[in-house]
Amino acid sequence: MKCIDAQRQLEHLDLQQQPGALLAEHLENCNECLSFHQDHQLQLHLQSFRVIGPDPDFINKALNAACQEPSIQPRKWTWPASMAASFVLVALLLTGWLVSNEPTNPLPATPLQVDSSQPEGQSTQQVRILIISDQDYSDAEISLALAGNLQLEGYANQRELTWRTQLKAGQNLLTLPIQVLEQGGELQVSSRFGDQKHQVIVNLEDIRS
Amino acid sequence: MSKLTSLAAWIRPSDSQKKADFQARLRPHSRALYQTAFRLTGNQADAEDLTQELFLRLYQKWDHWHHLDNPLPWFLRTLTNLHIDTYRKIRHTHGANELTSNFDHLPFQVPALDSASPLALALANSRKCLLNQALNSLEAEHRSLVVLHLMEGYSLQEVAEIQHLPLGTLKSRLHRCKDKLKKILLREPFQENLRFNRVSSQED
Ligand SMILES: [Zn+2]
Repeated sequence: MKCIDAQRQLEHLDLQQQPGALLAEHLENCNECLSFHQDHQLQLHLQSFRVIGPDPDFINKALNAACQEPSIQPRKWTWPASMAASFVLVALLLTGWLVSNEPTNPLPATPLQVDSSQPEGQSTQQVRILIISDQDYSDAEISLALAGNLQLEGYANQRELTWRTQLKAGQNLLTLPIQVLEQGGELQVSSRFGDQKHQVIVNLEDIRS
Repeated sequence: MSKLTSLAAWIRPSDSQKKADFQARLRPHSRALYQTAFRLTGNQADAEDLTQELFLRLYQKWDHWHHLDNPLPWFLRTLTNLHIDTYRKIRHTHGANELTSNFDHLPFQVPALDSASPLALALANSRKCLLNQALNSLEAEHRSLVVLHLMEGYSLQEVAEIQHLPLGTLKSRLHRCKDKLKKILLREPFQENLRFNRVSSQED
């Protein structure tokens, strides 16, 4: 495949589409096209950003308020919500099987220490695990094993956790807020239901570094 | 002999003339400026705050821009500078570490995914989340470059004029920004070693 043909095809891929076999093979061997592909994907991501608002009368009010100086001051800057969500990582794992789905309380049955403090130098990453289950399960078992540099938010110093939960046939999404300290480490998520056991290992690193 | 500028300084418009001119000049750009503010902050409340602060600043500095044929670059520079100042202030007040706190998410938040909801929707929501996180990971100066150049389509030359920065600086910044964004956005979510793999079964 020639680069010009590869790039023509790559231009038509959206974010859902994976390159076909021939194209994928070309990408493995051609840095120029790989870089083209990545730039294009980045552009698609950025284009998908949606602007919301402003409220209908916001512009008029803001223009009028600006002319009323000094009696009307702008709203004081508060903690921007955008900052609160900084440095959070989403790892989306797609599988043929399971993991948790219990919207009410998929917590371990055993009482656990709760510690919501956030010592210096750590960041929380949101690890999301998407599981597609072939049927409903009432008694699936989920286990986590965390490396020394990882903590499940609210469960400081718990290296292993296991709990039982329901799974619905179809999509189940489990979100784990994991605090990553220093170099990070491995997060192991295992599931067991019926006669099957599955495991996934995610290597989490501090993406601020 | 008086220069025109000093002459203009003597003839000050009335307050009502100034207000009328301010609104007439700014209004055509106001929505675009809000959009930029939203892209810089990532949410409506912060974007409205930033826009309000911008308008106030522009009114205070009306003397500096009202004579310009095209004041938009001046507006954009003021906007990005305000955003950068705010970002620095927050970093200074709260410390970099607090920026990483995530108060919006409770432990084990499990969004109920309707079994009828298409996988594409789940993936799209994840992408949206991921995109916000990627943009939030950028320093304010870098984010304004990404917003102006990659999202709003200003050329690097135009961004250089807006931000009063050398083209070379912007090019190397852009390179670093793209690398950082790609690192977060283009992670292969379905790599073999990240998938759930069957490790044992009673049937085995
Ligand atoms: Zn090629």
